[in-house]
This record gives sequence, C-alpha cells and structure tokens, in this order.
Amino acid sequence: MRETSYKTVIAEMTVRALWETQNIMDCIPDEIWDKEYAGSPLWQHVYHMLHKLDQWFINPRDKDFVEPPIHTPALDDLETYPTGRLGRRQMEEYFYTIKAKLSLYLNALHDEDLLQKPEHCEWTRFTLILAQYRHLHLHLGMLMGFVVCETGLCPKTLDLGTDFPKVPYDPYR
Amino acid sequence: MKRRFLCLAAALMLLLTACGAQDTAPALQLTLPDTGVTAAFYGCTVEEATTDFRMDDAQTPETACLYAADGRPDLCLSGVTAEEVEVRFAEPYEAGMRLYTGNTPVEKLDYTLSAEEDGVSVRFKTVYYYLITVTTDAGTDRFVVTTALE
Repeated sequence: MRETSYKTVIAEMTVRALWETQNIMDCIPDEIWDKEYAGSPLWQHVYHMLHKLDQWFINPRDKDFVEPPIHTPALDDLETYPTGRLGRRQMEEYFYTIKAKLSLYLNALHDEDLLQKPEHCEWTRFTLILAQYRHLHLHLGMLMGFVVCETGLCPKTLDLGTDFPKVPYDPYR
Repeated sequence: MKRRFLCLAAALMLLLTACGAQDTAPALQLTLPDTGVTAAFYGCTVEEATTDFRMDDAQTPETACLYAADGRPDLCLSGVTAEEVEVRFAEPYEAGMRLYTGNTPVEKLDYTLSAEEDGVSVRFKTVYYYLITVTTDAGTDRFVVTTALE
C-alpha cells in the first residue's frame, strides 16, 4: 500500500471501502432484496447508504448537486416507506456513477485541500471524508448482518495489507 | 419449414452469445494493427485520436491510439482470450500519456472482463484513463481508452 501523502492514503482506503461495498452488494441474495429490516426494504438501506455517499463525500452543500435519475422524493430516507422499488441493476449503475465521481474527485484532490471547506459547507473536506467512511461502514455492517442472518455466510472484507482478490474469488470469508 | 426455423434460431443464438452481442451497432469498430484483432466499442460515442505514450519515463515515447468515450463503454475484442488482454491505468504526462503505476485497476470494481464465445468483453466501470494491452502470437497492441461521466 502506498502511503506517500494523505491524499494517497485516502484514495487507497476509499478504493478498498468501495471494493467492500461492491462485494456486500454482490452477496445480498435476491430473496431478501425486498425483505423488510427495521421497517425498510433491504434495497432502501442500500440506496440510503449510496445516496449519502454520493451527496456527502464531496460537498453536501453543493448547490449543483443533481439527484440520480432513479431518485424520487424521500427515497433515501429510511423513515419514509418507499412507494416504488429499485432493482439490483439500477443500484449497481448508481454505485458505479458514484464511484466515477469519487475517482475524479480524489484524483484532483491535494493534501492542502483537506483542511479547506468546500463552497457553502461548514465542514472541511477531511471531515466530510471521514464522516462518510463512518456512515458507509455503519451501513455496510448492517447489510453484512442481514446477509449473515439469511445465509449464515459472512461477506469477505479487506484486511489492511491484504491484496484485492483476483477474479473469480469466493465473496465470503 | 420447421428445420429452417431451427437453423435460424441456432444462428440467432450464436449471434447473441458472440462477443459484442449488443442490441445496437458498435459506436466504433477497428482492427488492431499488430495483432489483427477486431475491437468494437458499444454504449456511447467514442472518438479516435493518437497520443505519445511511454511505459516508463526512460522510454522514448511511441505513438498510441487514444479512444475518448463520452461515457463508460463496453469494448469487445474478438478472437482473443482473457489471458491475452491486460487492463491497467494510464495518466497524462507531458504532452502525452504514460503507464500509471500508483495503483492497478481492480477487476470487478474498475472493470469487468468477460470471456465470450468468440472473444473477450471489457466493461469500464470508472472514469479514468485505461491502458489496454492485447498480446497474441501475432504481436502486441497497446491503446488508451478514456472514460467520462455520462
């Protein structure tokens, strides 16, 4: 792992977190995609997690933020039961759009930007990134719990220093 | 008559399982000069250009093709196996491009590489400069694909 700058470490950690996100999404059995957990269908937990990543990692106060085409009002709000449904394919497309946005952002990021606040935002970029790591992993943990309960299998995660597994790989530990 | 339909169905099945089986015509199709492999891009507009490219700073730049997509295209390479295709990242360097060594693309996260009946399909999943190297008994072709947010 490269640790030559703060930005490099953040980029490495983000790629590893996104790998874990992809893997957990892959591990969700079709049978529980619509199953309710804590009053929300599982897919809405996934959407909530991704939508926050999309909106909050870079700048939650961005006036130019564009909702994804699959969005409807309050769809990301776990307190509001959804009237529609998102499929796995739509969720994957959204995930890859977010990943693309993050890769552009992280490629352009410099160490000296980290303690600066993005436009109209009360927090620094570094705070936003760490906050999103916390939020993302809170929800990844919940999703892992749902998968373990249903299948008895625990999705693979990446320990520090572990290489990305080569395809094809066992998605479980 | 029934036999004719069976033949037609078999032909259609072959067509649909072949590399590049898409419901639209390729945005760009070309033959790679050294390997003779047919490459076809699907899913978004792709513009062809050339760039100076080097594998490392010490190397004299060579001219490589650069395909700029306005989205994240699928690339179909006919008549090759997955082992003959390597996907890396490139980066802008001076007036051209060079191999990016900061990290290597992660299969499934940054791209997928699927073996098809008559070749390999590469799906680009992130936004960056991808360096594609195709190596067969006939030779080696190297080109850069740039992807963009739709």
